[in-house]
Amino acid sequence: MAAINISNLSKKFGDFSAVSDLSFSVTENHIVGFLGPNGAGKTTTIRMLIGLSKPTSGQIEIAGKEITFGDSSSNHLFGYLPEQPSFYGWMTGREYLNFAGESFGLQLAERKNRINELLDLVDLKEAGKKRIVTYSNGMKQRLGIAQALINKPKVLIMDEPVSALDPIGRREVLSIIGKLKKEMTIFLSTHILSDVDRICDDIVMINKGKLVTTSSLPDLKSKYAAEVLEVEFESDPETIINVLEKESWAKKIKKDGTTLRIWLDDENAIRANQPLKFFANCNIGIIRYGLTLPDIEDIFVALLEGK
Amino acid sequence: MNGLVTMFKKEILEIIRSKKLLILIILFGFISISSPIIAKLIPVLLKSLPETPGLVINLPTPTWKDAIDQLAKNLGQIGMVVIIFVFAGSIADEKVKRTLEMVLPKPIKRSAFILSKYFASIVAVKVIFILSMVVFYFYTFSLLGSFSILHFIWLSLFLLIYLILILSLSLFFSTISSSQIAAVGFTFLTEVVFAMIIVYFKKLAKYSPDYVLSHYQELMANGNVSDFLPGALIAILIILIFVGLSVQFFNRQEVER
Repeated sequence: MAAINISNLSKKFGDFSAVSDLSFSVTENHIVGFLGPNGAGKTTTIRMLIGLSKPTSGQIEIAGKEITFGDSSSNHLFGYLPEQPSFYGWMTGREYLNFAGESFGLQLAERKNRINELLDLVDLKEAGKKRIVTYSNGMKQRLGIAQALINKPKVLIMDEPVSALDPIGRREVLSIIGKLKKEMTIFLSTHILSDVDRICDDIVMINKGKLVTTSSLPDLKSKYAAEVLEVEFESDPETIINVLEKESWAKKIKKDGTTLRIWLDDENAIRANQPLKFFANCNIGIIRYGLTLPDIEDIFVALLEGK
Repeated sequence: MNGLVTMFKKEILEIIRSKKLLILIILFGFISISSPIIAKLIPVLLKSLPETPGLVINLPTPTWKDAIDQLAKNLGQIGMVVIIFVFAGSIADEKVKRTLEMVLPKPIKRSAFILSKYFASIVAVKVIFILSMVVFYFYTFSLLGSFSILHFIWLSLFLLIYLILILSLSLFFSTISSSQIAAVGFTFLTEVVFAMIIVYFKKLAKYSPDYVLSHYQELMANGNVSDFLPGALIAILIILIFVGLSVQFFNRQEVER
């Protein structure tokens, strides 16, 4: 059974289609990255998933149960964390978790145990006694994860969980998500592609409200596994790019500082040492020379460009 | 109902912690204590003014009726305004501050969310109002002499229904508006309509929820409750309609980003 199943989902705001005929499913106990550029329709889709927004058409199922707008009876199946969670600042962290636990119908003893477990998990044991109004963004995000996990949901839905955080906060939240791996299905939207590379099993990519692709991350990488040659020079290689472009084995070139990434058109070029011979004649010192695979960012751009 | 008790407890705690309760205590405490004191002191204050040749001020001895005048005037003006400002943000603020989008994805029925707001606010206003009327009675009794406790209980009941009506309007407009200011504006506008009925449609005056604010002295003098029942029943009907409408609107409302 799919953890999330979306069929022909559409959402219109007047004449504007934010989501069009979107269909995909999410495998149980996988971490799935929901990708797309800004304005692709990720948040709109998530808001329909959790019942905050009404679909214009289409069906949503979570853990086999249909989600109907305005009906909260399926809400015990998932936990939700928005991009910037807003709490009742006058409550303490512990009180908010108690409120969340009560809303899920957890009994007092179970609630107490679960709150202690979660405060431990998100490293808020001490801060749990303080009013939320005094929390930093990172602490609020961690409390947000704790409240979303209060009833051990089958599916955890997160909208850009690390976008608003500084690098330390991001690392902390990603480490918590990593700990939850295999315990539940995690569906998270993000535009930070390095995070997807780090924690996701699968991806669902949308653009302009439409599905671009859905795939496991290793499958996607092998599909786009054209070998990439990465060469780092001791000075700026700008002057050699024009000449390099004329070489038959160089399909695409990307420059990042003093490093060139070259998509190879023919794997035999490496065996014949064609690139090495070319760079040896360029009179720029080579610091590093080696083959690599395209990263998720390269794939993301290629998919959006329709390649 | 899913989440009603949880939300009710949260609302009561919020009313206490967000100082709404403190504001209500100060407001009703002030009205209940100041009304008899002001009634008692006005003649004294006026007498202390410097004498103006040709102007003679003859003031009757103040009675409990003057205190009731002050009470009804204060509740109809300051009381109404404060209740609107305290409660008009209750639901709109949850939308603006985006706390709502953390609550609705939990197994809490939308109707439970709205009803808990009504129940908790009504309980808070009712408790503070009843206590303040007890204080008013004893202050007035000791400063200005005795008066019918039964008639006063009826008056208090009708005034409470009026205040709950204002509270319900505030919460209804808070449900359909996306800001506190809009909710405040709509509530004032509706209250103006009720007041206009009394001024312009004399035959319909008895059916206006505001009737008690202009005819309270008749109730205190002769205890003729039946004259006030139509206005009170209309007020209760409007309260129920607005509670129902709030639930209906909220059930269909999408939470904007």
